[in-house]
Amino acid sequence: MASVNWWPYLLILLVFSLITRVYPLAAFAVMLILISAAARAWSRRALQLVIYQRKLIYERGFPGETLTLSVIAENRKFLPVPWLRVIDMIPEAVGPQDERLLQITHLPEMGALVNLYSLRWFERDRRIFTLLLRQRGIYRLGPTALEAGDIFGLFENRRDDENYDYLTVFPEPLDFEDLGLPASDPFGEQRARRRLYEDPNLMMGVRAYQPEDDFRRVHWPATARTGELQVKVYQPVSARVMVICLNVMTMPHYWDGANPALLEYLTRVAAAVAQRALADGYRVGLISNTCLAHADQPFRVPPGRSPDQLARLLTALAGTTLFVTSTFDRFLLHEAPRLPYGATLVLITGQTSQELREAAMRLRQRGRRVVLLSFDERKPLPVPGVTLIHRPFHP
Amino acid sequence: MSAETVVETPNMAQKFWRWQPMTAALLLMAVELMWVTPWYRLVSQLSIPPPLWKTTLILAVVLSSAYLISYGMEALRLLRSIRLGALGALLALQLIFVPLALMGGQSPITTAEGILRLDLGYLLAITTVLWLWRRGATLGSALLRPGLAWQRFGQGLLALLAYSFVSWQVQPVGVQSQGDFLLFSAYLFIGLLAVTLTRIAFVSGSVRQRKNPFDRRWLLSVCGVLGLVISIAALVGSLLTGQYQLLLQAASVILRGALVVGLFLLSLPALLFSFLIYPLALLIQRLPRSTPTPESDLLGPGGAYPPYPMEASQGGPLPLPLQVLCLFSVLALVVLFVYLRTRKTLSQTAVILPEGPESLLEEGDAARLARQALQDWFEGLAQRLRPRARPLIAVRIRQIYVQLLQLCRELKTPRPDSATPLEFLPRMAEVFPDREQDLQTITQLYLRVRYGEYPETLADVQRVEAAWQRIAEEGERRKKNAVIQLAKS
Repeated sequence: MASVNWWPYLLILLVFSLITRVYPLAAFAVMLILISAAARAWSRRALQLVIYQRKLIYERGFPGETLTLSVIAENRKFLPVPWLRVIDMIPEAVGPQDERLLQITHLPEMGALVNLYSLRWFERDRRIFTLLLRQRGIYRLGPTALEAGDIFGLFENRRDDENYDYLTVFPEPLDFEDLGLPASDPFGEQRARRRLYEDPNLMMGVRAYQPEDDFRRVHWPATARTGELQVKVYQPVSARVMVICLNVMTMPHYWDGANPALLEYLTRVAAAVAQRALADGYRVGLISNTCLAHADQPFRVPPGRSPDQLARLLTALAGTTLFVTSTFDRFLLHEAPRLPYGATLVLITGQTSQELREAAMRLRQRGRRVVLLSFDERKPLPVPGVTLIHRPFHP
Repeated sequence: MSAETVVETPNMAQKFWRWQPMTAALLLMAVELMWVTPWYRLVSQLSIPPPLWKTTLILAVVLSSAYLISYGMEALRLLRSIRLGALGALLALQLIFVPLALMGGQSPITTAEGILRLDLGYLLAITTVLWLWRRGATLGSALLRPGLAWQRFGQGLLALLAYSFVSWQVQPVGVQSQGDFLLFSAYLFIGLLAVTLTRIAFVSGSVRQRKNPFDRRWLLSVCGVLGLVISIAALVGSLLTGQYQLLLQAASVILRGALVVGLFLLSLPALLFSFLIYPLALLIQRLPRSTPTPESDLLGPGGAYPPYPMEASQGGPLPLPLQVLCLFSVLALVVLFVYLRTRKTLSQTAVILPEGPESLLEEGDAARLARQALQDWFEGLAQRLRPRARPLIAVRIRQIYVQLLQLCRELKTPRPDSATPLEFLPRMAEVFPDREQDLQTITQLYLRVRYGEYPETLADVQRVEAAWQRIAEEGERRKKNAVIQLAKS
């Protein structure tokens, strides 16, 4: 507004009034110079030591839940801030429960939460909002623009703060029973549940050598002491590992576009499978042919059975986007060497192409146990050795 | 804290914010009048000078009626042609009646005749009406934004400065200056308040929140700060330009005005409650007394005392002023009690509510922080000045070292070009064996200044100067001895 610099004109006025000996005019010029200087100084210092922060008690939840967001503005100096406007960018999907509080912006699916403050010296003002989680995803709150000015309303100052907070909206897991998987053996091979593995890091004793034993398992000190061949006995570890492989490609070809509803459904299915598998004692991992949200890292969650593994999996699923890094068949074959041996691979896909069937078959040939959960509208052809479950998706 | 405590209906939200644009518009109209009226009165002196109050009132009606009609039409979202028609009708009425009103019936001719005869008074009045009509209409239809307020404030400021200049040239010295000073200060106050309020109205126009930070307390604070800054600016401006007489005159006018207003406000309760006080005073007078007093001739036909005046007698009722005082004391106590209770309740509510403003200062923090801020400011100032002092210090140390070399040269011990200061130090120590410590001080500090990047301080300079003073005295003695020895030889 007052971008025009007053001072040269006021100085000219002062000199003119002194030359023409109109002293009241000179007094007015001095008054204006002083007021202008005070306004400029106030405006420049208005945003100094002004802090704006968000406080979220919980940073994740399921769609339909509400979270409390506190926004705090602080003035940590003696100079008061007569007016302060804070424009906080909030995604509409996690906006306030009262949608009218969020103003429209030029960015798609983003709104502006505008708050006005008037802060005296060393004052804090807190506002509380209730956010409604509307849609699955990982959402970034911020950045923030702070605008303030002098008490005369002449000058304005602006500061952009790159302060971000993240909100995770998990996918709502489907009811596992609704998937219609076989109740006795939902993930294909029951006999895998009894399979025992040994952890070479955990030795629990020695025993006499038998011809079928591997020569590398011989315990040489014990052999020397006893005079007979002794082999190490390792701690048995039951390893029921499952890796959920999610295909985010919802159309036969990437140039066909995407089907967001199908992707939502697939993530809900993946969440349901992960939940059930963890409950059944599996170590569950997750891979997908997309990127992690707000990162360029590959989408890969190693198998685990820790208490927070479900939250980790749901967080990853929350960040699933329509961005496809490669076709699912190539992705599977590329990732297969990194997956733990003996793990059950649950392929969740909305498209069952010939290439995918071939990839599944090749995985099977390499000794993998594969379950193909297809939500394709067309019934896919059976793949030898692969458990195929077809549940066509109807939006 | 549930959402219901924060969110409210849009109607409620709008209700909280509505006063700002209206007040801003009102102040902008006042700004307009504050420069148009003096100009009109100044120019109209050539014809028929109308009284100030009358001119202001008429022009205010012109401006505000155009604004209100334009604003109303805009709010009703009527067709453009209807809006223009209504405003045109208003203009026609104003053009017919306002010049007549401004002339105050002193002119024997009508407006039409005045225009036809090119009467200066009428032409001026018509021009003023046209200007104010346009300003009011555009203000009512435009979005109230800071740029608009700033533009109007700036235009008015220029006009007022020009008015002051012309007025100074036209009027005799001392007649207009005092009024100008007051007018300019008032213009600054109202204009800046209008700009501030417009900005607040603009930034809060689309915001929906229940708590309005720009409440009455905020407005009072802004007015206070604005008044203070303008007063200080006026004081400094008048003192710097030798216009203290104007300032004193203006201050006396303001003080007189404030005194009158204050007295009026103080007496307002008495005026308002006079109908209550009078019967109460009568009732108090009629209270039974312990000792009967002889009947007075002053008693009226009903046995009652006349209302006023009344002589105070020993053992009789309290004099009326004392009775009024008692009544006011009781009223004041009641008001104080209610105020304290309300304040206590509000403070309790403020503690319970999790949102809203709160002070970051605890007891004793303010003084500590003020001290800290002052200290920081001084340190910042020193930091800013230090880089300027550093070169001076460095120059002084280097200068002393050059003087030391000069002295050595005079004492037949020049420094070879190939010798570094540290290599030359033992040679100097041979010349001044008693001043080895001083020589080391000068050489070391010279090295720091010349080759090092260490910050030098004022204390370093003082040490070098003290050392140099001692060496210089010693050198002078040596030179005298050398001269004496030369003379003897």
